[in-house]
Amino acid sequence: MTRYDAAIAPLPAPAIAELRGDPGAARALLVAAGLTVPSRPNSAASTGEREALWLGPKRWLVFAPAAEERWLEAHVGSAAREPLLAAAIVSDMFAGIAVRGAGSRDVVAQGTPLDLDALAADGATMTDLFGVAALLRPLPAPGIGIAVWVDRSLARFVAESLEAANGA
Amino acid sequence: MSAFRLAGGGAVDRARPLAFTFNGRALGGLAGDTLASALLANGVHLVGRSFKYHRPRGIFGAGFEDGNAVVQRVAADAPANELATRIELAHGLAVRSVNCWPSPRFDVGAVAQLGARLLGAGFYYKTFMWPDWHLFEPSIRKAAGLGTAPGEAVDDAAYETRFGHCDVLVVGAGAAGLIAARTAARSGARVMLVDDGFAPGGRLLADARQIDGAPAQAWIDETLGALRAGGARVVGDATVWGYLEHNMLAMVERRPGAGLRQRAWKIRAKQVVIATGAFERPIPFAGSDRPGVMLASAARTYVNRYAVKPGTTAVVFTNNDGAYDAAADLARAGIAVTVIDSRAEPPDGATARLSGLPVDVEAGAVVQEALGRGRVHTAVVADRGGAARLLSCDLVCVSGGWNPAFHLASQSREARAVWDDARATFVPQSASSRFHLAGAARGTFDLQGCLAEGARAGAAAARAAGFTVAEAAVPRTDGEAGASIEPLWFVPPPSRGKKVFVDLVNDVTVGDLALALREGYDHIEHVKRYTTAGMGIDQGKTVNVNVIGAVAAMRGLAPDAVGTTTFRQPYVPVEFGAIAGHRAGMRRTPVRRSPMFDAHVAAGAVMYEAGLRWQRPGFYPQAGEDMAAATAREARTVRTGVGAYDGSPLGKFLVKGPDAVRLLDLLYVNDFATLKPGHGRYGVMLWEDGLVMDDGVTFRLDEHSYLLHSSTGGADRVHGHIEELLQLHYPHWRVSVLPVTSQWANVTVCGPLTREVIRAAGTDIDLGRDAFPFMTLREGEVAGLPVRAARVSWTGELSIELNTPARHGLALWQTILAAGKTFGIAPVGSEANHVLRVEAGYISTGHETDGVVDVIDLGLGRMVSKTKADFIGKRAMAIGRAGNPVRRELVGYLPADPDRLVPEGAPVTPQGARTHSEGFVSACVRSVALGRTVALGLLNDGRARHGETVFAKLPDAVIPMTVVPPVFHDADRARVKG
Repeated sequence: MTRYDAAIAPLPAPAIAELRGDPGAARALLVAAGLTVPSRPNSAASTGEREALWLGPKRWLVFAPAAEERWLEAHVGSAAREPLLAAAIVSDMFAGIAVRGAGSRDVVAQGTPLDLDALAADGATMTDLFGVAALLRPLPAPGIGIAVWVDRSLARFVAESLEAANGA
Repeated sequence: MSAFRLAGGGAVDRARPLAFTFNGRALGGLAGDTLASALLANGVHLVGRSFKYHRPRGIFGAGFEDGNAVVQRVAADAPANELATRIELAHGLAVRSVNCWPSPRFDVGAVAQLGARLLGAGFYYKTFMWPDWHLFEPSIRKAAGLGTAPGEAVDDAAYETRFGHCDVLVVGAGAAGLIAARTAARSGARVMLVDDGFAPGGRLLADARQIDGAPAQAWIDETLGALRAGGARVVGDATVWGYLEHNMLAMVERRPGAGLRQRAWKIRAKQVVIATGAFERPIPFAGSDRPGVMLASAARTYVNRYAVKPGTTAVVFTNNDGAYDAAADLARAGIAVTVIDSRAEPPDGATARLSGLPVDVEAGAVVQEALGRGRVHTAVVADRGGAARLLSCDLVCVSGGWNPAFHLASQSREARAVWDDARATFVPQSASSRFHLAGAARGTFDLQGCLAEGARAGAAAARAAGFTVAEAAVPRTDGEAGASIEPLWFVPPPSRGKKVFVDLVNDVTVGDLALALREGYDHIEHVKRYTTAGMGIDQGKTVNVNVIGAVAAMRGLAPDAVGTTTFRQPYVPVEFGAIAGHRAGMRRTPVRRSPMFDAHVAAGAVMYEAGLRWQRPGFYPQAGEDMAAATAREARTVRTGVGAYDGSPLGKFLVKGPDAVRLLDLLYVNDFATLKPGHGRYGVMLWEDGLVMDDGVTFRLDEHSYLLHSSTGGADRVHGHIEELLQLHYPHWRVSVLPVTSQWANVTVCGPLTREVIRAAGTDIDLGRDAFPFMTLREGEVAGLPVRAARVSWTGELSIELNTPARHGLALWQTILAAGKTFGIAPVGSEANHVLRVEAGYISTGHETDGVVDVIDLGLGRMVSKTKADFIGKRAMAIGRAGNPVRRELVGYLPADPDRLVPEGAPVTPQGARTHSEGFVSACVRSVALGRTVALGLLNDGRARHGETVFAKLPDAVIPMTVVPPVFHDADRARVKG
């Protein structure tokens, strides 16, 4: 029995690449990879199952299915040849936690100062969650909830904190 | 039904009786009661004893304004100092009095009253100074005080802390707040309405008013229904207790359900409507602290809302019109009422409120004293000529006017208190663009005015938050008494020695205020601190204006010339548990775990934090081993065979771009332009002040890419430092930094048999000395897992770091340990690592860097580039060295007693004297290489003093030590590079 109508569970590990550097070079690289470039900061744009997230003035993440890590390496990791960009596969650096259910905002709001009502359907934003850096995204429809992505080393702490916030 | 419960009316449920106990006595109440109303319904007025003098104390108010009726629930985890007026009655509730023994009626502590003349304000400053205040403090504290702290820790699951957001936060759900919220909600704004009552409505619940020709409750219900239907969040039994920066407001929600005791909120609101109402203030007189004396508004609340008669014969003592409505309601409830009005001629509008009721009014008189012990039985009434007469009564209601509750506006620092003669109180004055004051909190005391102001404030707040809204139509209300008032701050006692309490919570008397003034504490802030008036539970709600008025009267000033004190946070008691929420134990602060964490725990490792929240194995004790034995065994295994440790937490950053080498050359004291791809270089970076910030090895991956390693604990610091440089100082540089610490797990194999173990695990990397030399990097596989192998060492032995994507970390760790079994491999913890690095003379940031040493002091001067134009800290280091030629330099120490460990941080002083230090011990370990204790440390001109004996000064000993070079093992690095 939990305090809120929410369920907390790990998310499957996708392939993730990170890009940092010159915005023009980054956009060009994403377009060349066949990805849709997000139109505004703190948002995501999908191309099939691949998504590009714009998280900061010079920071992007690309999510793809786990099986596509080689594709990601070849297309986004190819930034290795682009001197103005730093790129790396960071699939192992992130761990995802799903907070599902009508009470998901009440649970996540115990850890983050972010206004969760303002998190748009395509929103993707870094924030503070229980004192650690976290990427928050709405879970894809039709589910109700929030996907939490944190540094792998902190995943258990965040999951336990979310469980406690849920009153488990 | 008790004799004091009215047959009809009120918002209590007569069909739902509730049983409770007070001081063990079984009593009954009704659903909808507070503990206070239920006690009054049972004829219980004596609730406890006072803070200092142990005087009998009763129920004085009906809400948070009553700091008098302090009680404690009978439970091991009960919080201290709850108010009887703020405890919702529940079946089985068990409550006891505080600050009395054995009972409130017969209290041994009441003996303090005999010595009351000696216990005035600040008595302990004057009388308990010799020989030491601390001798007396425990017994004085035990005799004073109210409730007791919980005997048992409360389960952290009983609390919650969370954030909240809204466009318009309305604080207070009285008439002004309700209409403000409804008006704002109509605009589509996200509205949050917060009220500290058990039910929304504020004074409407107590004053039996009519709105649009119907009882006010109907309007309340209709308004709440509309708000909830529109999606507004209505939070009851919650207090906004602090107004912080940038419209962040702190709120506590009490017993919000689901087993929670309290929920703390941090609310970010675009706009705030402060409609927090007002508190009636008393008129202090001799004995006005006795049970049976209460605020007129409280008595009215008990009659109208709880259907309880707080007495049968009442004296209503007032200096203003408002109390006439209270007197009328009491009379209608069947209570015999006499009004004593200090004004010579009460306005007709006031006396007209009593029309047709059997109420006597005596104008131009005061209640001089209330007589009685456990409860008042007589009021001494004096006219202006001084003639006194006795009035038999069991209830004295006082009304000295109203104090707007504008504490939130005051805390915002965007409002100031301004004296208003007409209302005889301080009112807030503000031009804030963040909040809007409405209703009684703004000094508007009539209901019609409150509604109009609330509607205006709600509309203004919504507009300021970016919404479009028209003001709501304001409903019509019935009539009420006027607002005329003639201030009366206290009634002088009929004789010397009789105390007039101005602050019931802290037992502060008018005499205490006079004493403070006599002793020179004439600033109101000094008066407050000297006497404690307005402190504690009250926090100025009912006390402050009386104190200011009394001080003004005594000093012959107007109240505004005296000034005001500051409203502090929290405005009401908040449990520590609510502030902490569920952050307890391992959730108190973030905890980082490597991919091999569970394997370390399963192997019996003692885990602890070792930098930047990382949990790392300290040592792996085997059967019968203590920490020292396990550490020695692990360190010895590395020196003689092979060990493996989890190096995953080490900070790792990809630095890339045409200007990457420019950045590295700026960061580090040494030169990176000459570093070839595939090779690494140890570097030291300085702060701008020339002192050491961090150190680590950086590998060049290709023309423009570098892999920078920081210390574990310094990773965030280094990252922040680099980002500041690139974002603020050199934004035009073409270089990016990407942290990749957790992407990689690191298994470091170290010891003479390192190569044998890795080969046994299976690898395609040529591990030969020439093929894979020291300070180079290779990519390949170990046991079929992808690795990036690095030849570096922090142990003074051959060492290879195997970095693999974190998903493979556990498998690699287990494979290496399995492959190393035949070689006697041991997992190695931080303790053994510490021994090994001290023996090898490697510095550790935080140990050997203490905020005064530079890189040359550490014996690393040869690293400092002489060809680079600049690096961070270069100039400051040169200036520092020029200005302070006596340097503390890194040295080794050998304690004269080879078994003696010297505590880290121990000062080194000339001859061990108690004088200024000339150095210190930064680390001391039992060396497995030398079979004795060895130490590192810093010493003035240390490098020139090798061979000299110096002395570590401990509190209980002086330890002689020989100064030696700071490397005890592998001085030529043959083993490391072999």
